[in-house]
Amino acid sequence: MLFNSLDFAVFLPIVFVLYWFVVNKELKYQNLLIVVASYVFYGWWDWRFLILILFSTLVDYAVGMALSKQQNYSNRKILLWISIIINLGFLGFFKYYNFFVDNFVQAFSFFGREIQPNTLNIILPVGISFYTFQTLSYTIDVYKRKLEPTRNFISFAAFVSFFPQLVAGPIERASNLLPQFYVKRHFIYQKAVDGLRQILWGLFKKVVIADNCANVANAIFEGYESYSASTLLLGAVFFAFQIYGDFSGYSDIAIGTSRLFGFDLKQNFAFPYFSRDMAEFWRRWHISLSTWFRDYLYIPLGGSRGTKRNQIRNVFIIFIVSGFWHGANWTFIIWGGLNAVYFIPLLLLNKNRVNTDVVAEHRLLPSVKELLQMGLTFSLTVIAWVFFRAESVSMALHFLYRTANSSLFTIPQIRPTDLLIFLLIFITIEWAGRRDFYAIERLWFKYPKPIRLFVYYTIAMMIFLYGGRTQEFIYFQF
Amino acid sequence: MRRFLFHTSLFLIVLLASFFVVFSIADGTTDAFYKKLSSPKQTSLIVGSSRAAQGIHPNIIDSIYGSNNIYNYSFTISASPYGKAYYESISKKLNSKCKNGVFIIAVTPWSLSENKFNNKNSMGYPEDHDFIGKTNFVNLKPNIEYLLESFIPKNEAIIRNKYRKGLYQTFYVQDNGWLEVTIESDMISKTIRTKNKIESYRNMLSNYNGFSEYRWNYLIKTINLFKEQGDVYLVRIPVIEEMLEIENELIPNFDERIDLLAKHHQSPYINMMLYNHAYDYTDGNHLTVNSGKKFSLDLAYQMKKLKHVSN
Repeated sequence: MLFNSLDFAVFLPIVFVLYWFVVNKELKYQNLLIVVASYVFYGWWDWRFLILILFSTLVDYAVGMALSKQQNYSNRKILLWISIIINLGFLGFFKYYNFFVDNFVQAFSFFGREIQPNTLNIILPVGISFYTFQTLSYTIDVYKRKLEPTRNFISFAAFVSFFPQLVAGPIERASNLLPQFYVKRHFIYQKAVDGLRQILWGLFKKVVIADNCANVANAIFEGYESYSASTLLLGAVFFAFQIYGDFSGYSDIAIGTSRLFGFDLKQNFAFPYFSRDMAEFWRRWHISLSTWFRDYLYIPLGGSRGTKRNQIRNVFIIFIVSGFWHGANWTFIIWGGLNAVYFIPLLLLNKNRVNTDVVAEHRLLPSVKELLQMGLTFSLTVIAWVFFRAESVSMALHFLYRTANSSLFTIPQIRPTDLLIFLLIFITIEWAGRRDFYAIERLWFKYPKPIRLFVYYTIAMMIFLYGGRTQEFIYFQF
Repeated sequence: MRRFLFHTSLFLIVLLASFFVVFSIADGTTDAFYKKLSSPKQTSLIVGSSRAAQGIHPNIIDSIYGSNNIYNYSFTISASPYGKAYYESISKKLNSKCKNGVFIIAVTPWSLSENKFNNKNSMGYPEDHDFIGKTNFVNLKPNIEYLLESFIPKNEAIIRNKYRKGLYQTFYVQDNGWLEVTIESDMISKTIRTKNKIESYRNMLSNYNGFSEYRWNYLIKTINLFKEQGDVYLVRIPVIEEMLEIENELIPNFDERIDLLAKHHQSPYINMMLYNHAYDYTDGNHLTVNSGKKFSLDLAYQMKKLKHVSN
C-alpha cells in the first residue's frame, strides 16, 4: 500500500479509529492491532512475503530469548551469527543473488571461460533491506547487552512490522522504538496534530516536488544523448530534488503517521541540501541508515581510530557497503565510493566535525562563504547522484562527459517553469524551517490560527492540483 | 480526542468540498473522454475509434436521418477496439428501455485486430487496464471515479484546459459526444502530420497479427445488443489511399467479411471508403471538421435511403 494512494487514505482512518476507540483500553490489543494492520498494509503488495517477515520476527525473538538465558560467550556469539546469517541470507538471496551470478559469469568470461549463468527470476520483497536492518539492530544490541531482550512476542512483532516505517524506514533502533510498545499509548492532541502536519508536508514533498521532478528527470536521463549539457545538468539537479522529496517525504509521512498512533520516531532527514561539507551532508541524509552503519559497522571496524590507512579503509568500507545496500548494481557501489572520496579529505584534515550546527542558525540568510560551501556540497552531491540514477556505470560516465562542453552555457532545451517556481517556494520554506524537526513544524506559529489553516489548506490543494500520477517511492526498491 | 476529530473532520470536509468543486468544473475541455463518461445514459449511439469520434457529427445525423439525440460514444483505437471492456462500457451507457434507437458501428481493421505483444495475456487485453475497462460508472457527473483513476494529467489541467478552448491544437467534446479538434490547417503542417501518421501506422502494422476472433465475436455481440433496441448501421469511415493500403495488408478481405456479417445480421454496411477522395483529412487518418460535416451528411443520407428501402 502506498502512502500516496486512495487505499491508504481509507486504511489509515480505519486503523486510527479502531486503535483509539476500540482497542484503546488494553496495551496488548493496541499492539495486536498494530501487528494486524501492519500485515494487511504489507500484504497489500504481496501477501506471500509476509512469511519472510514472520520468519524473521520469530528468529530474532527466539535468538533474543536464547541470549537472555545464555551467559557463555561462545554460545552467545553463535546465536548472534545465527540471526545475522538468516537475516542477511534472505537479503542476500533476494537482492544480490543475480548480481553475483552475473558478475561471476563476466569474470569467468574475461579469463576465457564461458559458463552458463543460472540466474533466477527473483522478486525483491518490498522493504526487506529496512526491516532486516531493524531486526538485526535488536539482536546485536541484545548481544552487546545494551538492550534487555523482550519476552513479549506481540510487542516484538509490532516493532518489526510497524507499518508506518516498515517498507522504507526510518530504520528504528530497538532501543528507541521497542520500549514504546511496552507502555499503553494515550492520545495527545498536539502530538496528533503535529503528526498530521508532518504527513501533509511529506505528501507535498513526494507528490508535488518529487513526482513532478521525476517526470523531467526521467525524460532527460532516458534521452540524455540528445540533450545539451545545460539540460543534462538540469536533469541531474531535478533528480537530486526528486530523490530528496521522495525519500524525505516518505520519512515525514512515516514519522507523522507514527505520531498519530502515539509513537515517536527519530528524524531521518535534517535539511541535507543546506550542508556546508560532505561530512555534514552525511549527518543529515538518511540519518537512520548512516547511524546504523556507524554503530554496527564503522565503529566495530575501528572507526576513526587507528592509523590513517585504517581510517581510510573504514570510510571506504562503510560508504561502499552503504552504496551496495541501495542496490545490486555497480552504479550504487561507485556512488558510495565517490562519497567516500568526498569524505576522506575532511577526515584526514580533521575537518569532518566542523559544521555540526545549523547553518546561519541565528540569521535570516547565509553568509557568502556559507552559500559557496552549500553550493559546492550540493554540486558534489549532484555529480554522485548521476551514478545513483544511471542505469549503468558507462551511462553515468557518458552523461557526465556530455555535461562538460560549451552547451553548458546555453538555455536548457527543457524549461519546466511551473516546476522551477515550486522548487523555489519549496527551498524557501525548507530554509525557513531548517532549525526544526521538519520544515513546517513551527513555521507559521506566529500567525493567527486561521492564517495557518489557510496555509495548510493551500498546501493540501497544491497536492491535489499539482500531484502527478501516483508513483512508487524510489526507496521501495531498496 | 473529540476536539481532534472535530477539527480534522472540519478541515477534511472543506478540503473534500474543494476537490468536489474542482471535479465539478470538469467538462468537454478536460480531455477527449471525460464528457462521454459523465453524460447520461443514451438511447442511440455512435461507437468506434477516434475516426468516428471526430468524423461523425451526431447533430447532422439527427437532422437528416431523424434520429433522436444520437450520441457519439467513440474513443480511440487503443482504448475502444471491440472487446469485453468496450462492450461492457457500451452496455452501461445504453438506456435499455428504448426500443427505437439508431446505432452506428464504425468498423476498421485496427479495431478488429490483435496486437502481437499487448493482446491477451494472463492480465487480459490492454484496454481492460485502460480507462474504458477501469471506469465502472459511465453516467456520473462529476465522474470522480474516472478523474481519480484514469485522468492522466494533473488535476490543475481541469481548470487550465477550460481557458485553452479554441487555442492552438485543442480538443473539445460537445454535449452530443462529438470530439471537435482544432488543429493547424496549413498545407505544410498537414503534410508533416500525414507523413508521420503513415509512418507510425506502418510501424504499428508490424506489431499486429491481423484479424482477431476475440474482437470479431465482440463486434457481433455489440451488433446483437444494438439490434434489440433499434436500427444498426455498420460504417467504414474513409482514410487516404496510403492508410487504406496499410489496412488492406492488416486484414486483406476486410470489406467482404463485414459485408457477410452485415447480411447475416440484416444490418446495412455502408462502406464510405469508396469515396475517400471526396474528403479532406487532418493527418490522412482523421477527417477535418468540415469534411466530417460533409461525411456525416453523406452518411445520414445513405442511412435514410437504406431505411426507406428496408421499409
